[in-house]
Amino acid sequence: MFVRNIKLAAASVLCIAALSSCEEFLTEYPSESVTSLTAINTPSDVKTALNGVYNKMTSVYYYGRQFLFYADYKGSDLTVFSLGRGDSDFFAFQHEENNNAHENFWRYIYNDILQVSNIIERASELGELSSSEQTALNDYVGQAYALRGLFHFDLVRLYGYPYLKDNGASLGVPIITTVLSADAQPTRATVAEVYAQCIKDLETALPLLSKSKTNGMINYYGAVGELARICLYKGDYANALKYAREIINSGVYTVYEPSKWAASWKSQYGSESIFELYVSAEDGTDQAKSSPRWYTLAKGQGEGASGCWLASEAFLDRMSEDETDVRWEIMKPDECALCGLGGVNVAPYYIPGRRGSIMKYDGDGKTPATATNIKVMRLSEIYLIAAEAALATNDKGAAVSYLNEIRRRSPKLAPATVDNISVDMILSERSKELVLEGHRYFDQLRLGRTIVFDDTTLGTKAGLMDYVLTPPDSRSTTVDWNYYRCVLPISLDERNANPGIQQNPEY
Amino acid sequence: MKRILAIAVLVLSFCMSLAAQTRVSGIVLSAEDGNPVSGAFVVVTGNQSVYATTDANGKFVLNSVPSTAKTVEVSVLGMESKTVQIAPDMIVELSTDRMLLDEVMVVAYGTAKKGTYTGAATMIKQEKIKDVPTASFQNALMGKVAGLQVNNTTGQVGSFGQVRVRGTGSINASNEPLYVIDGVPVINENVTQLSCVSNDVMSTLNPADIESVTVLKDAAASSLYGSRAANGVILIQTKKGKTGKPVITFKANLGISPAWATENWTPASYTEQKELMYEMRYNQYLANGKTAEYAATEAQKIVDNTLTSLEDPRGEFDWEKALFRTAVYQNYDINVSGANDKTSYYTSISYSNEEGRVAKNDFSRLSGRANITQKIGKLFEASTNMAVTYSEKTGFNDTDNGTLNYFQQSRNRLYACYYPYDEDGNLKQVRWNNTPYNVLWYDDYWSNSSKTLKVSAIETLQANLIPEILSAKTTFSYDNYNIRDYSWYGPTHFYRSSKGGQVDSYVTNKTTLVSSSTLNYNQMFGDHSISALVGFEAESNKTDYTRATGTNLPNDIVRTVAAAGTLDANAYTWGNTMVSVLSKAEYSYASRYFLSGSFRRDGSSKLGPTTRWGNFWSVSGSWKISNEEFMKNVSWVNDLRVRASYGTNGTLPTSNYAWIPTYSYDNTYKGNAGGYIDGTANENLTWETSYTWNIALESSLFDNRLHATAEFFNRDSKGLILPVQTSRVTGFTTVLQNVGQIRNRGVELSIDGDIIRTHDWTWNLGATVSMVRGTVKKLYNHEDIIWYDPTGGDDNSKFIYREGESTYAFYGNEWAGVEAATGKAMWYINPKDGEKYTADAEVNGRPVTYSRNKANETIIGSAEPKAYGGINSSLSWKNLTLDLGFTYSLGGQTYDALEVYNADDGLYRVYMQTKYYYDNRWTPEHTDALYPIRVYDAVTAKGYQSRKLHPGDYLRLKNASLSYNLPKGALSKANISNMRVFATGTNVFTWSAFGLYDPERNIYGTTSWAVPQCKTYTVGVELTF
Repeated sequence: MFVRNIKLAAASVLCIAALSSCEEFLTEYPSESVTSLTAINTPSDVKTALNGVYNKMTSVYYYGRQFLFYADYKGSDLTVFSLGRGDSDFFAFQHEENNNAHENFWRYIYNDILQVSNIIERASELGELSSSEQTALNDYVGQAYALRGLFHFDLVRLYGYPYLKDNGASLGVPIITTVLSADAQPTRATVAEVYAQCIKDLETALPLLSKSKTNGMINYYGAVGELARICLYKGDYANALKYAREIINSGVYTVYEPSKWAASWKSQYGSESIFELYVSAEDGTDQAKSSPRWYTLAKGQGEGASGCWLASEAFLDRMSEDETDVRWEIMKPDECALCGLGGVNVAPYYIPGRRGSIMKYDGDGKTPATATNIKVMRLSEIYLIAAEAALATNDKGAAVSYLNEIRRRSPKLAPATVDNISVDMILSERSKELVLEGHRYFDQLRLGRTIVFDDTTLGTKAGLMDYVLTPPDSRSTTVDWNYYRCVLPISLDERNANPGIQQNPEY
Repeated sequence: MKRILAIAVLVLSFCMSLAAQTRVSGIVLSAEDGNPVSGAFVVVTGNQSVYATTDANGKFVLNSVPSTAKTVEVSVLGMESKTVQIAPDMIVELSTDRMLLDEVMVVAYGTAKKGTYTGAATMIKQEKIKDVPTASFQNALMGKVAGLQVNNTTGQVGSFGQVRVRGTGSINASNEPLYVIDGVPVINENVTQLSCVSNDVMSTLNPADIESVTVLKDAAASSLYGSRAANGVILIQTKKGKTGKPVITFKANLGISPAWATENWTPASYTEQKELMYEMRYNQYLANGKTAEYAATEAQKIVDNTLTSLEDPRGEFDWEKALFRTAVYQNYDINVSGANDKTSYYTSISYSNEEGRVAKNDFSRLSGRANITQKIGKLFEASTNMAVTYSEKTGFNDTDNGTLNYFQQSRNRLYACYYPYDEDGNLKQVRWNNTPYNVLWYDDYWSNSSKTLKVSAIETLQANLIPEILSAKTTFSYDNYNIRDYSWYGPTHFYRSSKGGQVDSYVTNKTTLVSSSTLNYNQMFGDHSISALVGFEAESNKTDYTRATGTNLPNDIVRTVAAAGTLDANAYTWGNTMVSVLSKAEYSYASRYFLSGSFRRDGSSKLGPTTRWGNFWSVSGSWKISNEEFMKNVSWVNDLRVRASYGTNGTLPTSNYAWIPTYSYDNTYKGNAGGYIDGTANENLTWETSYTWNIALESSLFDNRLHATAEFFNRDSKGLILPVQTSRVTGFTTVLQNVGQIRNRGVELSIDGDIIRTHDWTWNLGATVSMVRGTVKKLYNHEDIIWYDPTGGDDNSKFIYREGESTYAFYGNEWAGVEAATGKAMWYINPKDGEKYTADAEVNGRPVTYSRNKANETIIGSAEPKAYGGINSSLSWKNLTLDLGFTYSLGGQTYDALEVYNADDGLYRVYMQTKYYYDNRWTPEHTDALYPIRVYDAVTAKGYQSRKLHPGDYLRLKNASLSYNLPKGALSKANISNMRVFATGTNVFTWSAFGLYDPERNIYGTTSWAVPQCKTYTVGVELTF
């Protein structure tokens, strides 16, 4: 205080003499931030910047919820009690140009791309480094490239038609590899160009990245797994198989034994976890950062539990192929089973025993339970990629062995054989294994499958018309890659600010 | 001592009379009561170096009066100045002020005579403020100052209303006027960290310490405050000691608030609520093709399950009575003041305690002040104004958060069948049907408070370099607020039970330092009068913030962070600085022509180096027509004057760091700092600038019995800071630019007159009218901007900024009423040009739809009143005075955002509905209805639509007071010089065009679950020794 008084008095005196000397007095910077131009000067600053990106990935608009669930409710593995709850706009395909709920994906992921591009640019400007510093920096830069590939791939899956529909000829998303100025107006590249850029970024990342397990960060195998995914989507099965095998054969990760499977959801960084995002206790209390638990836990089962999303009849039927499937263990009674009528105790309308609350995000040792890490990539997925890629390349033997490694989790189901193995069988396994991890919709769409929605059975079973969803105007009971709304529109706000950007057809 | 002095004076006067220059003595008395007037300034006309000040007995002595002098001028604040012939042992009688034209007003960096001031300003004196039973003074200004709008938005105790001077000139920056206390700028803002409470800086000011409040309205009046004065300036002057013997004043006020000021969404009776619930379900089954019999059975089942089964044999429970009390208000002031020719002092201590009608809500304030002025030798004068205030608000609970708000619980959630006591008569821990909760039980499991310690010291040193001509003044002020906020929810309280209870402690420390130096020159040359002022100012604002949060509390007993199982903390600082040079020059000729100009240059840390300096200036003039020769014979015109001004002001961005591309670190990951670029920045961002012209006509007629002022003004606010959309691909959505423009244009009238002026009776009646129209003139790319009432937690009302439209244009769907045959809700489609549409029906020849999302949104109304103001009456008979202060608002609309809850058409399953809704909904028997058929899950009450708009016209008896001055004779034996008893009422009556709720809403005309205003009645006594 005293010093400030003196400064003030000094400023008074000086300013009378010459106003220009006031500039120092008039320079105020925030205490909790610095100017972005001077923020990254050392490898340690680069690591801090990466931390910021990982944290931002857990935003509710990305892996923190919406992106995570998007594929399941649009892929018909999840359903909703009544429209208007949760993110039902997506479920109902109610996304239109001027309805901005969908714009958050675009905004948040491009902001993440800005952050990693900034990291890559700034890292290239650092001066002389010791060799240990250089090694550390290389890994950080590798992570930034790998994440940039992942971000572009997630965006192109949301906004661009599936690669196999037209071999990537249709519009994808703008490719951003530098920090843009506020007046930039980039336009869209084709899907094929975006895929190529993703592969390029990931391949750039590979030699830079650490091969050891790096909990909470993307490492070499995370990037390889991402490449496997991209190649699978692209129909480049040979490479998909190559990349998947590299991870499987490395031995760094091991598949959960069936008996350990359910417990794996209650702990962090399991033996399958290739890329997992950390959610802190603090973020766990922030619905903007971490809300999967709130959205899956049935109403009344915890403060904030809204139970908006519950397993669809189709998903429960699929699970019911084997009542002893270990994956039932995380299926808890849902709103229909517990209280009926959105929490009001009206007894006659229960569906006793319905286990539609899929509790993959129910605490992993931290408090509160909402602080549950998010598994972006697990070894099970890599096995299933390997199975699908092997099948596509006519290596049925390998396909069977990869699939059965996961299928063991349904003890009563006969293992797959070279005679009966099919893509459907693998997709069904992917649904059961990877539900709530962001795959089902894309899995069906990328292969040109038809997605079937059942809007009425649940409500009818519940015996109360409140639960019979009126099929929305915005989609019929089936959707495939020919329906224009199978991709999201570019928002009106984006188009207003960036008139050159192209809209998806028919929007 | 006095006798010795008197002898000395006599001897001296005798000696002096022998010289060529004479000595003049006299006494100044009040014309009304014959009491001596102390502190009056007596100066020889045409020779300002000969002057004196009257003593405690009203006496003065002028030495060395030149023999050529004929008259002296006598003036004192609050009384009519007089020029009188020099005579031996003069007796000068001064009349007390009746809004006299020569009233001395406190204005920017000095004082001015009202009759010659070239700007638009209104001063309100202590008498008008003192009896209003409120912890914040701005309520007392309501309706008394033309152009000043005060909106009380909550009945929460200790809260401060929204104040606007001449409309709203900014979209994203502040619209708050600048407050200046004893010459030092103070930024009024809500300083608490808790969302559900308003704790304004101004509530720390004891209204009893205020001598006067001046509202500066046009550029001539305010542009000397430059960059922060675009929204007007409110100058507050605290009291000083008056020459004479020490005066001790004691004042006590006691009051009660037994009722709300108006109806507030009175719910339908319990029986009617059941009927509504039944109807909602019954209609739903019918709509789904069930038989009437099935529908009746099932609907009844739901009502029985939800409500009937919970009924208590003890009957219906009166939640209104249980939740709200007759609140008690008390206030005590003691002040001691006095002055002699060297020293003046005013000291006060005050205690105020105000209960809210919500049981846990209390406000208390203890404040002390010492204002001391000391003359040092002939040249210097030093003064110190010190004030310390401690205020405490506790138990506030009127957030929009529906799960907690008591008022909302009472109106919308707590059915009379919910009985809070168990069979043994103990309160029970219960939540009925999910959200309503037994607030009586949960009362013991939460608490919150906001405590403010304010210390301010203003040190001034003045050097009268050439007495009455040239003076230099330097002021240093230190202003510190230490705010401690606290909030606790025990582990048993459902609100934070998932975290095992939560306790938050915040400390916010705000310090403002201001250094201000001015040089003041003032001289007359014959008919020419010149004055000039130059000054320099530097200001620094710093805030330190610390938060500690604890969760997982061990039990409901320990309520501090220290005991918590999980800790979390945050701390940072922010601030800004400003440096200014300022100047003003005034010239007048023959008391007829007045010219004034001002210039100020401000530099602010809120802007980048290339744009941070801004220049603000004004020119103004006035012509006193009544002083012209040709008016001399017009005897009924006492004063007639026109004045005009033009000038500029600025407004800074709200953010301290908008020009800096900031990089933040709060995205921690795995326990390590996580950094990220957190926004775009515009290094060229600069001031919003307003350009204001003002023309006024002032008159005083019929022996000064009628005063009327008319003002016309236009304020163009340009370069408004707006977020301009960017491509999201850049990583951000907007960048701030100076692009918008708003115009506020209006007329203000104020008139008051002494209708009766006799020895025993006086009746003064006055009125103010303000008609301000705010129009959006320019937006970026001509694009509309949609915005929402920023005060509501959940976007209570929707507005649009559109070029050519009102600044408070409500935006939404246009309601077309209820179809009589079916009870269906209808909205006008308002098709866009060339748009294809399918109409479900026609109303008034226009196409309508049954589905709101098929209708286009349009401008549906405006929250801006066409006229507002007040009517004030003061009637006196001998020692008895009755003051009535009315406020009114005409032509604006209010938006009942609560309709979605309490006239919900069936949207929510278990919310209570208003009686008004019950009476006006559609049923097969009541088809001429305001509200549609009630069906479960109906979405007809949702969204922004004109069915929620209601006329906002009202007239309110805001303040009424009756006071009686006891006869002096009876008191003098008890050494009491004056004793006054008084009784007041606040919000006594309200006449409103739409009576469902209090029509005095926030500036956005929007309702919320904030605790309503109440009626308050007080009695008090004031003793002067």
